[in-house]
Amino acid sequence: MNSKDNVLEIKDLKVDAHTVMGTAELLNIKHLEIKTGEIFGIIGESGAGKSLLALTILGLLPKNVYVKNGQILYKGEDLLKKSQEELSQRIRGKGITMIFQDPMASLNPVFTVYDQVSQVISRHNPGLSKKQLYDRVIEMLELVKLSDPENTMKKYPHELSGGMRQRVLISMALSAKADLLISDEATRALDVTIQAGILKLLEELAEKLGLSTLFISSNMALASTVCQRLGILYAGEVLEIGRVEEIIRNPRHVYTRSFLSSLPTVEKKGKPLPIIKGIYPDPLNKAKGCIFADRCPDYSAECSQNKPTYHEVIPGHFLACIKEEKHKPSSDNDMD
Amino acid sequence: MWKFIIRRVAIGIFILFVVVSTTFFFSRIVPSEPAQKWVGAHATEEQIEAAKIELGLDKPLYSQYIKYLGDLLKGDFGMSIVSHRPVSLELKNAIPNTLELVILSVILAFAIGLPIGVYSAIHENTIFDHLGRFISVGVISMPTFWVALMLQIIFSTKLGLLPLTGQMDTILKLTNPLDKITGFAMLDSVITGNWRVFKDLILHAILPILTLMSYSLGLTSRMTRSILLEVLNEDYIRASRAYGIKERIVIWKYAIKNVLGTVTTVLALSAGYALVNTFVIEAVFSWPGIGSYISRSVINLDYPAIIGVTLFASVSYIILNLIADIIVALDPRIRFVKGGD
Repeated sequence: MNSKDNVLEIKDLKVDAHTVMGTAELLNIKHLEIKTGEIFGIIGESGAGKSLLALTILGLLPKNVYVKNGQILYKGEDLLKKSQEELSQRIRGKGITMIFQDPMASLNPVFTVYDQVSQVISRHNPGLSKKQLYDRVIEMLELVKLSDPENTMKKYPHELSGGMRQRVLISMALSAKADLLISDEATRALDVTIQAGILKLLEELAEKLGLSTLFISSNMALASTVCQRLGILYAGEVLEIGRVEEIIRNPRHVYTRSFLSSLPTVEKKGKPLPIIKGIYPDPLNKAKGCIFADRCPDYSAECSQNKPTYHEVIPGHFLACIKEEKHKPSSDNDMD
Repeated sequence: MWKFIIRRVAIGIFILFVVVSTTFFFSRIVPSEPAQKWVGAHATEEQIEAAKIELGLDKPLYSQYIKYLGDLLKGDFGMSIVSHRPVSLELKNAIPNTLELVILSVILAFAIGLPIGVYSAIHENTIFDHLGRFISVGVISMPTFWVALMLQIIFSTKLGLLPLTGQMDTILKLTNPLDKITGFAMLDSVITGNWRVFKDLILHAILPILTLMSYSLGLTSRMTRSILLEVLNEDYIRASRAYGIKERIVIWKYAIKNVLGTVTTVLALSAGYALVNTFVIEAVFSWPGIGSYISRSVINLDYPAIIGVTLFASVSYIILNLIADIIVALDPRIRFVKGGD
C-alpha cells in the first residue's frame, strides 16, 4: 500500500495514563490508516478509547495521559514529534480538525457565533481586512446551510437549536480549510431527524471540499450508512478493519459478530437480545494475550498466551485473532 | 434590564427603612442619657431638662421616630450629641477618606489577584501554585487587626520606611493646605497639582490599603484559580484548541470571560466586607474615616451618628449587591430572560 494514498497513518501507537492506581494502558493500535478522501469509521463501545484516539491525533491529551511509543503520520509528517506550538499553528484547524459530540458544550457560551467563527478564520488567515473576514464568516455559515447567516452570526449559542449549533461548530471546524475531519459522535446529542441532516451535510462537505473523515461512533447502523471502511475498537485495540460490506455481512472477529448480533433489529422483536458475557477489560490490568480472550466463546488456551498478530485475511481486511480460520461466517444467534 | 434595576432599588429602599427603624429603636433601648451628654457632665437639672426639650427627648419615642424619619427624608441626620455638629457634615468629611481606602484596595486586589489566580491555574500543582494558595489561605485567615499591627511593626517601627498612623503629615497639612474639591484627598491633590501632599498621602495609605486588600486579594486569586481550572476543562476550551486558536487567546479571551462574572461578583461582595473591615483598620491606623467615626460614636452612644453610619453602610451594601447582580445579568445567557431576576 502506498503511503501517499493515506492522509493519516497510525503505527504501533501506545497511549498510557498515570493514575493513582498505577499505569493504565488506554490505546494499543498496531496499524490504522485513513485514505485520502474516504470516510473511515471507528466503532466501539463507550470507554473503548475512540475519543482518546481523536485527542491523541490532535495532541490534546489530558495532563496525565501520554504517548508511550508509536507514530502518527499526517501526510508523511509525524505529529508526535511536533511541538504544541507547531501543532497549534500548522495542524489543528488548518490540517486536521474536529467536531464534538455535544455542540452546546463545545461552543463558548459568552461569545457570539461571529466572534467564534471569525477567530478561527483570522488565526489561520492573518491579515484579512474586517470586510474580508465578515464575508468569509458569511461564506462559512452558508456552506453549512444555516439559513439567514447575517442574523445567526449575531446570536449566542444558547439562542440556537441543537442542529444549528452543530452546523456552527462544523463551520468553525472547516473554516481554516482542513483536509482531515474527525467527527467524534457528532450526531449523538441530536434528534434522529436532525442527525440525518447533519450526516447528509457531512457527506456533502466531504465530497465538495475533498475531505477525508475519521467518523467516530458507537452506532454501527449509522456508521455503516456513511463510511466506506470500518475499524472495530475494543479496549483500546483495533480488532478488525475492513470495508463496510465485509464487516457487516461477513464479520470475521468474534467480537464484531457479537457486537452486530446484539443490535436490536425488527426480526429480533420480542426476543431477548444476546449480550456479550463477562466484563470489559480493566485498562489497569490488561491481559497478555488476546484482549477479548476471557469473553470469547471460542476461547482456547493459546488465546491468552500470545497476542494475536494483526494480519490481512483478504486484501484490505485486517484481523487480530489467532483462530480466525475456524470462524466461518455464520448466523447471528450462535451467541448467548 | 431597567425593570430589574428599578425593582432592586425599590427592594433596597425597603431594606433601608427596616435598617433605620431597627437601629433607631435599638440605640434607644440601650440605657443612656443623651441630654446629659449634650450639655456636659457638670450641667444643672434645668440645663438637662432644657436640652431634653431641645433634642425632642421629652416627646414619646414614636413621635421622635416619626420626626427623625421626616428629617432623614430632607437629608438631615440630626446633630451629633458629642460634637454638636450636624451628622451629615461629619459623614461628608469622613466617607471620602474611607471610600478612598476601600476603592483602592479592591481595585488593587483585582489587578493583582486575577493574574496570580490565572498563573496558578495554568501552572497547576507547581511550586508557584502551592505557594500562591498557601499565601492566599494565609491572608484570608489572618485577623485584620493583627495584619495591621504586624505591618506597622515591620515597615514603620523596625524599618522606618512608612508613617505609623494618620492620613497625612500634620506639619505638611499646615504648610501645604489641600483645597477641598471632591473631598477625596488623593484626587484633590492631583487636581490641584499638590504633588508633595499627594506623595505624603500615598505613603500614609500604603499600610492601611495593604491590610484592607489582603482578604480580597486572597479571595480573588483563589476564586480565579478554581473557576479557571473548571472552565479550562470545558468542551468549548478543548474545541477552540482543536481549531488551533492561540493559547494566549484561549486563556485570556475565551476562558477569562467565563471566569470574570463570578470573580467580579465575589469581589463586589468582598468590597462590602472591606468596608466593615475599615472599622477596625481605621482605628489601628488613626485614619480619619467612617470607621474611626463609628467607633467614637458607639463608645459615646451618639445615636444620630450611629444611625448615620449604619445607613451609609447599608446603602453601600445595597449598591454593591446591585452591582453584583448587574454583573451577573451581563452574561448573555441571563440577559434575555424577560421579567426574571
